[in-house]
Amino acid sequence: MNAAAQYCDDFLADMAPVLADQYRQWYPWCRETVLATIDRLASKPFLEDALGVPLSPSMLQAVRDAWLIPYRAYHLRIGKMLRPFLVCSVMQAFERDPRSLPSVVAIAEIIHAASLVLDDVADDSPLRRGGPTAHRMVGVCVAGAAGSAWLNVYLKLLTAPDAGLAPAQAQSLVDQIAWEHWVTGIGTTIDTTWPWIGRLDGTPAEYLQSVVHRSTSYTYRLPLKIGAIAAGATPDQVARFAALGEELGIAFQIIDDILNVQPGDDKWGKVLAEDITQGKINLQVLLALERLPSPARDELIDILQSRTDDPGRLGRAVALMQSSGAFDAARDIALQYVANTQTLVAEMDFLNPIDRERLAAFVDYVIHRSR
Amino acid sequence: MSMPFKAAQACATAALRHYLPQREDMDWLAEVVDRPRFGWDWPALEQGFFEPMRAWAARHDARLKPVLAGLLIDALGGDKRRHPALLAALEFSHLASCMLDDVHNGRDLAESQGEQLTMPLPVWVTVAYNARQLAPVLVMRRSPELAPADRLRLARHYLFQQHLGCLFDIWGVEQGLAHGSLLHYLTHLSNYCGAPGFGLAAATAAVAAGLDDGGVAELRQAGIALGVSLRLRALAEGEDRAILFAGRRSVEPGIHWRFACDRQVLADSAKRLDDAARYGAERLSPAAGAALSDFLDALAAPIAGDKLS
Repeated sequence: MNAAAQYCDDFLADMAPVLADQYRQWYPWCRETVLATIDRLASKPFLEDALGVPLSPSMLQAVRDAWLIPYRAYHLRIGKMLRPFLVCSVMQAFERDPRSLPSVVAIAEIIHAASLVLDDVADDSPLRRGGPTAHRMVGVCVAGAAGSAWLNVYLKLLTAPDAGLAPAQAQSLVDQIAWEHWVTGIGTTIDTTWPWIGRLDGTPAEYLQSVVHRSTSYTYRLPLKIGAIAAGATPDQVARFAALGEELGIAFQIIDDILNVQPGDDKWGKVLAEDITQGKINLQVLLALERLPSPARDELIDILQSRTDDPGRLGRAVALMQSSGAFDAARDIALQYVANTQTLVAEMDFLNPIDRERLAAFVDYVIHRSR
Repeated sequence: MSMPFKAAQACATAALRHYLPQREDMDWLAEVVDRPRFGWDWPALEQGFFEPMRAWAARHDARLKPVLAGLLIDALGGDKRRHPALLAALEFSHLASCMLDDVHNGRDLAESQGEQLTMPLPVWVTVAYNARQLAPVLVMRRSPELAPADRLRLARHYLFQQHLGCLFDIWGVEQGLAHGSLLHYLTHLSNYCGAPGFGLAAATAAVAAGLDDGGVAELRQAGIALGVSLRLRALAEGEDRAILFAGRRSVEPGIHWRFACDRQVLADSAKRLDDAARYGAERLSPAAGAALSDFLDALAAPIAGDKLS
């Protein structure tokens, strides 16, 4: 069994059978399609057409060494392919064959991986999926430019004559992706500004607002919208998938924040508790600060502001949050959004029952995953 | 500087101010970003985006790209005042490019933080990201005067080329890659350092004027040629981080990956590209050619002093 399939089986452990069957069906094709699309985008013919000029040998070398290789490494490290899988899943629910629109399926993962490159720069993370991050390989500026080019390659890919999209679909997809990219920056502004200005009195509501316009976007809202638009769904149906993605994205981010400091197993590919090292002010931190008595609160603030990576101090911060009940409270809040998603899925009466069941199983997977 | 040039500059600044709130404005957030579901933290957005963006825009007030677009829109029979979002998009994109120029290409944030930056690198980079990613949104969502298909025709020219050009420039010099010929160098400059922005400005005018795909491509190419020529003229004067105009230096991203050649060769190439740009515009419309000449004449005014804009 090759590495891709091994990971796939490993990942299936957290999935309900009805979802796992579908995931098993699409995972290899998604992976192959994403890699093939990336290679096509980095090819001489595509780039010369996109840029409108013949590229010199040196420029082609830069494309390969600085644009393609560091980025492709993220994909070779075996991601979960959740975004292209979601696109396939939604298209299939509308009886559309995802294989007819490979560029559209691939773009969901291409955007996601590009956002990881930029996130890694912003967080100065040394590792991603167990390997070095792009900026550790080629430098901050090059990784930033490379990630941004991958992030925005959709403007070329989806408007190409061979994308297979109707004009209205291309317009809608470009409109939605452009908007998601923009609002993601606004959400990220809050995420990066709070530690900088030492903002410790932000409210859980303000944090959740930033979540709506940050990770929620790329993780679920965007791929669900991409799938629905590509499938030819009505504007109302697209809006319902967007709402589902938003609720699920909020729940996901809360759980992801918890997993960052309390991983469910040893297969987590990130540096443990790097959110604490970076002084991130997320929901569990805000809840802990609300609940802890003064000396413990001051101690937690001190650790958050120290940018420490000392395991002992990181462990102490986690223990303080645990003792305050912040993790349980954050999980309870996440569960409210999970409940919203289940309601939204149940109301998607335009889908057949098996597809509603798969979507519900997907939601369940997100909330109960351990990695 | 001609009156039309000054009027286009004022129009561009007004457009930028419209899409960059000058004070707390929740309506702006709701309209241009999204309606708040839980509650926007304005103070954080002000400190982490709007204030640094306003300061940067005030320091860099030449507005050359939207000025070119405005002059060409009017020349092609349109009215630049009807396209504030398109003009603002051009300027946001330009300002973002310049914002990233003081960042070093270190392997971690500490190595990459330039001394000029007064805020942490991730915050600064996010400001630039926001400015850049707002641009296609303004084209796609804030330009009702254009048909949806025209918005798409224009949006597809945003961002990708500019980012890849930036990557070429940093990586090329860092790895010591050779351009091989002046032609290859011109190819590099056509993808980087302002030329794509001038190409976008020209394409914006062409789309706003309702030109067909061929016309858009031709005028965009003229804009790119103009952009490359302006950088070559500045390089010939020893400037690698600016365009020279009317006694001022208008900051552009620095050209790091350069080609060693005689100054006269650069100046000669610039002249040829100027002519190519004028010829391309004139072929579409004599008025467009005249507008482009007006723009070039304004830039060619005597250089004096050392004011940075």
